[in-house]
Formats: sequence, C-alpha cells, structure tokens
Amino acid sequence: MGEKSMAMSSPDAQAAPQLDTARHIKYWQRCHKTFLPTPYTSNDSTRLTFAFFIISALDILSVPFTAQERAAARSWVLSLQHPEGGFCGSPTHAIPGEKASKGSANIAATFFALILLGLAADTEEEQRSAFAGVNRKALLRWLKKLQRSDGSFGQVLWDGEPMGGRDMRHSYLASAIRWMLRGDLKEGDEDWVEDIDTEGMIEYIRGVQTYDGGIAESSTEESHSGYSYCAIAALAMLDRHSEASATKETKRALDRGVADRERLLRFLAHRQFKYLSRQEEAEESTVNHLEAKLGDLSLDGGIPYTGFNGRWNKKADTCYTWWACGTLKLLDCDGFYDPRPSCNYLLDITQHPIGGFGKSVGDPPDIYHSYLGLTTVALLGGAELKEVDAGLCCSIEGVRKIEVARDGLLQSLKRQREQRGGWRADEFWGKAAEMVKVK
Amino acid sequence: MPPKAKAAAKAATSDSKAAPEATPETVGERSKQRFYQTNPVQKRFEEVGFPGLTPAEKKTYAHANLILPVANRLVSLSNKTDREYWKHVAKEGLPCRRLKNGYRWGEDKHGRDIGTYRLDELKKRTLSQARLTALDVLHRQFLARREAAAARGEGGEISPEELDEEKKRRKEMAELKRELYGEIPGPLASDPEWDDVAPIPQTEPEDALARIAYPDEYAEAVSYLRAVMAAEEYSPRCLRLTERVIAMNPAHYTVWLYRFKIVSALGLPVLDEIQWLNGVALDNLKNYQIWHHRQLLLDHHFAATLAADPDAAKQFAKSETDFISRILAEDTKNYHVWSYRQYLVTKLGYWSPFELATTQSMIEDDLRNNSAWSHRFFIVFSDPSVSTPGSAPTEHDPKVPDAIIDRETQYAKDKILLAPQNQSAWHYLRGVLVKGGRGLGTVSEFASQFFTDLGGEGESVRSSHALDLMSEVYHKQGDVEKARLCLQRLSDKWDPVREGYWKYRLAELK
Repeated sequence: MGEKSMAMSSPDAQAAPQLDTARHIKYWQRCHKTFLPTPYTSNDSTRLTFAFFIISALDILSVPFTAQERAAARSWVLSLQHPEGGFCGSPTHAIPGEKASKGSANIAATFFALILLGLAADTEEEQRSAFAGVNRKALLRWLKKLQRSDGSFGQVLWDGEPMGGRDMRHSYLASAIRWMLRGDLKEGDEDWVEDIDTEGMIEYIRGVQTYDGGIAESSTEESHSGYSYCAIAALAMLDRHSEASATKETKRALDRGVADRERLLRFLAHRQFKYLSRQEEAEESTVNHLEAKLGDLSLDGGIPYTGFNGRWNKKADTCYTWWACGTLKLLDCDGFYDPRPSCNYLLDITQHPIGGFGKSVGDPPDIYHSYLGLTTVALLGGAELKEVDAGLCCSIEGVRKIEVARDGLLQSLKRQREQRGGWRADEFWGKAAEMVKVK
Repeated sequence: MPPKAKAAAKAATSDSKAAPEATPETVGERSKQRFYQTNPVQKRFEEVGFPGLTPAEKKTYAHANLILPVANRLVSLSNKTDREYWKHVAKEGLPCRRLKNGYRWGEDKHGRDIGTYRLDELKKRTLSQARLTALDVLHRQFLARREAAAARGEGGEISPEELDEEKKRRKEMAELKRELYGEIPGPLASDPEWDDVAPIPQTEPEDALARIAYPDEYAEAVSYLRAVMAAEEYSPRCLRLTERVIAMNPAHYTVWLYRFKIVSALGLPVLDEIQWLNGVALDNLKNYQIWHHRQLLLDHHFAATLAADPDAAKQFAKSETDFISRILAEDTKNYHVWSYRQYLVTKLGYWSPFELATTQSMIEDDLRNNSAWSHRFFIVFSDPSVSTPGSAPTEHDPKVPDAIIDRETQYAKDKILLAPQNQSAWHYLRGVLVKGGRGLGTVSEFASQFFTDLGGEGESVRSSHALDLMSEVYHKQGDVEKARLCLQRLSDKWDPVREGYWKYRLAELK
C-alpha cells in the first residue's frame, strides 16, 4: 500500500484530484462553532456521535484546539455521564440533578464520549487525567449488563434489560469500550471489575457469517460491509486488549471469530467496482450500480475511479469505502484495493465544493459522510492528514492519548486508594472517608 | 415638603397653558413636544444659547432648572432665598415634573424603536397589553377556582365549558404574547391538561458541542417528555406526547421503548398501534427504531393472542406481509424491513409458498436485488420442516432434501443465464451447493459455458464469476496451471479492479 500511495505524487498524477483541505477545515469549524441547522433535530439522540465527528475531523486535519475549547469539550462530555454508568447520547437524554438516574445511557454514546475525552487532551498532564471523572467501575458493570446470554449486546438498559436489536455495531462498541477502560488488572485488585463474556462475543460473531461469506445482523440476513467491519473490528479490539495484557490469548480472536475467512475475503474484495462517473451522473435513480462492460479497460472520466458498495450490486457510497477498506486493513489485506482510484472517487465525485463529502454523486455534504470520507482519504494516504487507526476510526495520535488516559486513570485510582488507606489509620480522616463513601 | 407639592399642582396648569402646536406623527415626536412643553425656554436655549436669552428668559431658565436640586436640598439656600425662590416658581407656574430629553420607549420584538410608532400603532399595542393583563386576571381566577374545586373533592370539578373557555383564553394570551413580545409559547404550556407537569427543559452552556437549532415545538415537547418519563407516567396523554416527539425525532432511542410500555400498560389494541405505525414507517423509510418497535408489538401480540389462535396468526401474517410489500415497493432493499420480515416469518411459522413466490417475483423484477435473493435463501434453508435448526449458512445441512437443492440450483442457473455477470445469483448458487454438500465441480460444465479459449487468440469471457468459480474447481482437481490462468486473466483483463485480490488468490495457489 505504501508503494501505491507513493504513486499518487508521481508526475502522471497531475490530473489526480486533491483534498481541498482549507474548505474541509472551514466546514468542520462551522460545525464546531455554530448551531447545526434545524433538520439535524432528527439526529438529536446522537449528538455525542456528531461531536466526535467534529472534534476528530479537526484533529485529523491538524487544527489545534485552544485550552478553553478543550475544557469546554471535556465538561460537556462529562455532563452527559449517567450516574449508574455510561454516557447519554445528548442533553435530551441526560437529566440534571436529583433525577439524573432517570436519564438513559447508550452504548454508542459511551464509545464516542471516551474517545472525545482522549482527543480533548493535549498536554501530557491533560492526557494522563483525560479519563478523570469517568466512573470506570460503574461503566464497566453497566457494559456487562448490556450483554445477552447469546453473546450479543443491546444499546440501552431498560428496566434492567438490554434493549435494541442484536446488532453487530453494539458488539464492536462494547469491545472497543472494554479496550479503552478495562486495563490489565488482576482479580482481587480493588479496581478489577468482572469482564464481559468475551468467548460469548466471539461465538456470537462467528455465527453471523452468511452464505455469501459476508457478515449480517444475523446469519440469515443480508450480508453488509458495515456489519462486517463491526464484527472484524470487535475481534481486533479483543486482540489489542489481550496483546496489552499479561495473559495473552494463544489464538487470536480474529482467527477464532471468523468461520470462513476465504469467503469473507471474497465478499470484501467484491465491494469495489469500476465506477463509471459519466454514466452514473446521467443516470436517473436506480438501486443498482452500473456495471462496466466486461473486459473494457478504457477510462471514462480520464482517470480511474473505484467505488465501494455495502451489499452485492448496490450503488457506490462514500462511507462504504471506509467500511470495506478499514475491514481489509484490520485483516491485513490492504493490498486488495488500489488507494489511488479509490481516493479519486472520494475526491472527485463526492467531495463537495463547500467542504465535506456527500453520500453519493451530487449529494450535499453531511457530517457522517464528511467524516468517513475524510478518514478514508487519510487511511488510503490520499492527502496530508494525520494517520488514522482502522480500529477506532480516529487519529493514531488519538489512540495513543486514550492509552495514556487509561493508564493515568488506573494509577490515580490506585493512588487514591492508598491515600484512603493512610487515612483510615487516623481516626479523623477515617471518619471523613466513611462519610464520603455513604454519600 | 409643602412648597414642592404646591409647585407640582401649579405645573399642571402650566401644561395646559402651553401654546398649541402641530399634532405629532410618531410617539417619539410627541415625546419631544412634551419635553419642550415641560421645559420652558429650553427650545430658545437650544437656538440661541444662554447668552442670547433675554434677562426674563434667563431667569425663568435658571429657576426651572433649579427646581429639582432645590427640592432635593442639593442646593442649600437661606430661608429667605428659599421662600423667594418658591414664590417665583409658583408665580410663573414652572413645571416641577419634567420629561427628560431623549426619552427611550424601548424596542418591540422586531427590534423596532417604539418611538417610531405612529400614535395609533402605540394605542393598539397598549390595548393589546391591557387585554393581556385582563386575560391574565381571568386566567388566575381559573387557576384559583380549579384549586378550590380540587380541594372540595369529588363532584367539585371544573365544568367542561369553563375548561373550554380557559383553553380559548390561553390561546388568545399566547397570541398576544407572541404579537407583543415575540414569545413562542408551545402548545403544551398553553394546554391546561399539562398544568400539573413541571417540564424539565434542556439547558446547556454556549460552548456545548454539536448544538442543534431545535424548533421551539421540539424543545417544549422534549421537556415534557423528560418529565413524564422520569415520573413513570403511562397515560393516554403521554402516548400522544410520544407521537409529537417521534414526528420530530423518530431516532429518539428511548421514546419508542416508553411508548411500547404505555401501549402495554394501558392494554391498547396492538392492531391500532400498528395502523398508526404504518404511517410513520412510510414517512421514515430509513428509520431503525420503528421496526424494532414493531418487533416488540409482534412479540406482545403473539404472547397475548396469536399463540393460541392460529387463524388470527395467519391473518396477522397476511396483513403484515401486505404492508411490508407496500414498503418494499418503494424501497426494494430496505434492510430493516427485510429483517422484520424474517422475524415475522420465524415468529409466526409463516413458511408459506407465498413467501417464496414473493422473492421470485421481486427477483424477476430486478435480477440484481440481493435482498430478495438473501430472503429466498432464508425461506428455503431455515424452514424447520426441511432443515436442521441452527445449521449455519456456511455449512452442509444433510436434512435439506435433494429435490430442494436441485430446484434451487436450477433456479440460480436460470437467472445466471439471463445475466451472467450478476453477483447475487452466482453467490446464491455457491451457497446452495454448500447447503447441499455438493462441490463446485458439480456446476463446472455450467460455469465453463461463460468463457472460451482462455489465454488463446479468441479468448472471450461473459462472466468473471464463472472464471473465479472455475479457478477453484481446477485447483481442487489438481490442475494448478489452469486455476492460475483463470486468476491471471481476471487480474489482467476481465476484472482488473480487484487486481490485488486476484494476486492474493494466485499466491494462495501454491
């Protein structure tokens, strides 16, 4: 892949479209500083997700945040924490004061909240205390409650039960949250929390491969590259966790969790197709992508375009370049796609003149596609951007910060405990500590 | 301070003595006129300055301007001078209460200076304000009466007429408030039915992230929703409230769970709820929560009624699939809808020929509709009467009769012949062969018809998928060279977009 991305700067690449970095920065700064327009009301429940897209996009574009901006992001995220663990999706779902427990935490919101806290930290000191204020134990216990007996995860607890579909996205989010917060603690340690059932998770993921090799919401449904990404990334995050711990798994979750790797690779490799830009633009709405004439090697737009879809025969869409390429990257198969024509599609077809990316040709930019378009260009090395991590979909720098934040949190918990231990010897401080506990 | 009182009394007369002037046009002009009326000599002073005044004018000017300082004892005069001074003020009838210059009337809701209002405009505004005040008095009376009625207990309720009147009154008050002050009172705040709920509004700092310009109606509805959800109220009015919120934010992840709880707590008919849901689903094709809600309703309905009543179950399955077909006609590959369809079939055991026929007709409409192909695979290979429960789609299921494997193999082949490059049909064929425990070799003759003279002068290929499949067949037969040739030609000529993948496959051949 490195070889191929080098080719992008070769002399024959003159016609290659570029990322209009300045416009993208403007687009994201507008999202950061002004109100999102009223039609975004239907996205009210996922504001934390949108906040992550905004902050992380600016991070990938190397736009620095002021100390005030960092503090504001941090305090807003923490204001959405639920007293019984996890984070609420938006202020709509968080209730202030005494009735706070009547709010509702959500697994996706929790994932994005933790990454945001990492991204909002700049100095070494900030990074070490990025997770200060996160109720780690409650969060991990809540996460465990979201797992069902079949190994799948729900998105919210409702009357104590995990609710929401048996959706592969939730497995991924759970695995990533676990990696971000759990750390390498031994049973018996006061900060140790009972783990989720990782074997159950692997079994569940293993069971959802479909007849064509792809992964769906369940094994009988239609395979989809978005779900495939979630399944593979969930397994990859399990492996990351075990690599970082002293008790390494002997066989990687990535191997154990995929029933038929060859079929999966075929499915993923087939998500790309030669994108016929002229015909697609002329075409009225159809549900299928246009097939190039078999064996026709001509270039219809002067440069080659590779589009990606999420399911067999469907049309190209910005975000599917990420879902397919990201998954292949996690599977160490990034040679399956050619970064240059894949970037050409994003930069020439869906990049929007005002900044951001649209879903498909001719679409206005929206936050979701703008973010995944940007991370994909970064993943494929198509522009001067921070390197991104295929597993967490943010900058690798951000991933490092999260690691520092986790270690910092565990150390400070330990320190606090030792101090408390010291207080107990003293009658006054011992009583004070008791009082705090009751509260 | 007696002298002052006396002076004030005189001031009124001095006002009436003022020379008649042109009628002012605007409120500001009238203020200006009154300013000069209550500040004698001021106009002359502005025109000619103090030195230009006649001695009499100077005297009047000085006396007039000293009234307040003297009255407030800011200037201390001897008793005699004080007496003299007030005598003079009284004699001249100098106004004690005077308008200040440049009086500001403030701005209206549009930011327009009320000073620029025409007099009749101001009058109208003042009347509206008066009307609002009057309505407010009546409104407070209503609240007091209601409280008293509640205290009396049973039979002491407010009459429906009175309630109606109050609703009208609030509507009028809301309109007046909007007209006068630009306040946008939501429909809930002005509905007496909601008076007992203290809404929990959303407040957030200015530097909050991903702020949305919420419409007022949404902000209001959500503030009430938060309150009733926290209070765990399950009532008809809450059901209506969830509808309001869902209309504006169908992706709200707990309002649906709450709504389901209301439906079950009140024992509302599931079919009514589904009827309502149909409309919402048609308006929001891409929404996931709607279909999850439908799934909960199905479970609920099944446990309460359908499990014990096969006829009702059949009827329900029919009406559900009718609606699903309607939605799929608009959006043939809607993931959530197909998911729900599977759930329905499994739950109600609806493994009917009708389902198979549906996939058939949808595939005929669009051979590349992979959702329909996928559903077909489910209908054929998950039917418990002809399959092993829990058998993975990636493994052989010996319980599936050969006749079915034959039928499905033929079906896929027929469709491939119609469109040899169709990915869906080829992968369906592969899936069927796995289920039947049959090797790819069993279709090698079929697949070979899609290419001729591979690697030769007259090479032609009608399906890259056939080449892919045959490379595996040749490999299995031990003919690595032929397998290699298939993959090489795919990489070089027939499917170069996947060059990297074909190279990987080539490397795996060794």
